[in-house]
Amino acid sequence: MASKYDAASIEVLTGLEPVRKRPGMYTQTERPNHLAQEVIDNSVDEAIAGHASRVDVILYKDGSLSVSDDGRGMPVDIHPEEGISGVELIMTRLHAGGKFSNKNYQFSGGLHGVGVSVVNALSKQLDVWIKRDGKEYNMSFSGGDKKVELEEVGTVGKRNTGTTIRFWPDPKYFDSPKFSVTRLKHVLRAKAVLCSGLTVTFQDEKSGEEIQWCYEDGLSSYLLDELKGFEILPPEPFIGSMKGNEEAVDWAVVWLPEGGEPVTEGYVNLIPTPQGGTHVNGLRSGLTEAVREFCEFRNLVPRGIKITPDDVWEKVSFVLSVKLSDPQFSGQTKERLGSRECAPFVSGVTKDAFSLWLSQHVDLGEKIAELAIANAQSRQRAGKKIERKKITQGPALPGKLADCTSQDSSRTELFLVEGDSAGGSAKQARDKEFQAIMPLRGKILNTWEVDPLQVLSSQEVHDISVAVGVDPGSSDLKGLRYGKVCVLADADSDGAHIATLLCALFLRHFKPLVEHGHVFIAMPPLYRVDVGKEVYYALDEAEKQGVLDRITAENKKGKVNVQRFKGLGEMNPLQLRETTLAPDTRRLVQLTIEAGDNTSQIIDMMLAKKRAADRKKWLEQKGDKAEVVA
Amino acid sequence: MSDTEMNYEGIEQLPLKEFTEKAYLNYSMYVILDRALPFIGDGLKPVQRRIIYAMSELGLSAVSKHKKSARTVGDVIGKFHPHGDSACYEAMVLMAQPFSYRYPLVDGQGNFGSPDDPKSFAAMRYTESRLSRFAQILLGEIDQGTVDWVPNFDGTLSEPSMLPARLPHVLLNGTTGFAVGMATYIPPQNIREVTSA
Repeated sequence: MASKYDAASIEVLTGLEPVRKRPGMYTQTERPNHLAQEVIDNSVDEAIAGHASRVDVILYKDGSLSVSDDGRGMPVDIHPEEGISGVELIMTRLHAGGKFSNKNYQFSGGLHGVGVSVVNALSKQLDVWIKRDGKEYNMSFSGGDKKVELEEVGTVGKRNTGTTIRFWPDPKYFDSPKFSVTRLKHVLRAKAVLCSGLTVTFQDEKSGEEIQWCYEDGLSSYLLDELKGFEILPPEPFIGSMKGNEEAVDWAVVWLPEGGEPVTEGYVNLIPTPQGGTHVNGLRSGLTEAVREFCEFRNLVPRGIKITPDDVWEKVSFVLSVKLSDPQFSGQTKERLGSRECAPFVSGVTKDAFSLWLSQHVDLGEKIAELAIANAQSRQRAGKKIERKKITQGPALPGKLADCTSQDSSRTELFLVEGDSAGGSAKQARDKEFQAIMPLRGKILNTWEVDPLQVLSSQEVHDISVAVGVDPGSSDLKGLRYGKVCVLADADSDGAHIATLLCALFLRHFKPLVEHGHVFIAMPPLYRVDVGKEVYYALDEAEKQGVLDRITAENKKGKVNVQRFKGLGEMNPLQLRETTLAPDTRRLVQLTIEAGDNTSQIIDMMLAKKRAADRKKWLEQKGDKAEVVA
Repeated sequence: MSDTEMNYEGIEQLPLKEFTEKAYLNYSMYVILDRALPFIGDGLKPVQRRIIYAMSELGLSAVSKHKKSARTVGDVIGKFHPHGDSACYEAMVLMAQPFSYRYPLVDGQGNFGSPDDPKSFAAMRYTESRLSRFAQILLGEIDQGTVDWVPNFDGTLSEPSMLPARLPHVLLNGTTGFAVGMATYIPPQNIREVTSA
């Protein structure tokens, strides 16, 4: 390296600098639409909290966008600690916001306090007008820095409150500086739908278009609108809502028996989650449970057919809106909900409601059930074509393998479990229809430098190879007996070692498995936190801290007891199912490799016999990064 | 887990190399710090230190009667050492074998193996054991505020992070151990020579 690398070259980004340096971390950089969404979300949060009744969005000819609401208006008084006005704080500081505690907003889309400041940072200019306490204020920013101080510009009626933000996105941060009008409309409309009673208007100066949305009965009319022209079942969508202390859920569901373009939209606190998440999974299992129960009561299912979630889900269209007081998303763009507690809540509520509905509308219920059964039958027919190796054919399956009953290799999963003691509870915890368990005793042979012909002489490797149905070194995946091969090891250091050895085995001798994404790592939780009768699981130290913080924040009664799982055998089968095996709530990580990356070199460095010196160097470099678990 | 991507069905993706590197790093550091290599202050690996401490807690001094090895092993793995019983028992047997240790730390009663086949020792339900007199040089000053105490794996008890050795025990008995990227081999020495040195 030519330039000197010393302490002076370490930069700490302050203020809005990080956003401008790495906009992709905070927003989508294809179009400024996401910026608009951030601003709109803020206005809609006011509406959810019941302070605003209308949101007006205007797209100007010069490419700027303004969003106004009639909410409470941003606070203009001086912040007691920071010494600057509330508006300025919101606009210019990352992680400043009123949505961290539940005091002012029970449910809100914003949670990091990042949104609007990002908009400010990435705009050429941003103006804000605030009507509050009978006065109107104005402030303006340019490129994220303050241009015009906060000043009073007039007086308004005491009741007349609200915030207007107009911003000009800076083209240099975006692939295209233009807003996509169709997407914007889609978002606005969705907001209007999900927040019934809220009036949303949109005005496009360029085309002179003006639209107003206001849905009194929300979800179902939206869904019907979207699906116009398709045959739907039932004719009136199945809708429902439920509100708890911490959560609320609204949904509308229909099936499209004749096919068509399904609408599958999930929202969390009115923020669309295009990649689904635990709330969608919850709805799916809730509906499935209800349909299964209904079929069982009325003896609708032919022998040998099992209804799976996919069968019920296949032609479904739904709009699901969940409100959580403390949602956890993955990433700032919020495309996927990660809050684990949401799945059981949604599935429980929808199952009860849908069961009730099915018993009340028996005719429609039977039609839905028929649909699911037809799907199941066609799936089974398709699955039968690829017959799996049975015990009678070919080499006998290893005795330790607890096989699953399903033959459909797209759905089946094989868990390689560390140790017989964990294998036992995994066997009880699994869904024996599609999950197979094979306990491994102790650590397997380090196969990194073993010849493919020799590798089968190890009993464990031989068992794995037979159970998976693929020969080592062959690129033929036809015999593959499971769609997913999951490594389930204890969350301690020996577990890490076993996982490493297994990864090396798969990479060296079963490379096609990895290349096609069949290899997974199951993440068992590290901690269990008991508070009174409630139980939380935490995957790692950070999550445990989060749970503990939440418990203190909510002033839960009862003694807090934290238990650290040393091995999988410590968990009851029920706990194991809840946390690592049940598809709705578990955490599974798919291992990927890319051609040309240095995976092989790294593993070679770690596991080759002759490279102890390299390992020592590696440890000296990175040893302090290890999370040592004693 | 910085670069995990999500897709439908709740499956995250992670490059294999990242996962393996992290897992193996954690394992290596654990083995180096907490398993295979002795601590220079008392020349003991964690499992040995825990056996000696647990035996002193059980009152198994050189003058008391022998007690079943299974009781010691049970105490060690139940209180301090959350690992397999057989590995723990083997560590204890090694400390009792006069041909493995220059100065055995454990005094065994029963079949503790023979020099031509050191693994021929009897199962832990048959053998009995107590600390040897030599072990006193490691334990003599333990109650005099000489060592740091650390919580055990579940935080309910505390164990010494090292034993107060009066002589450099690491030189007396010597030790061998293999970790990741590094290993140790120290030959045993005569106690009188070390003491006078």
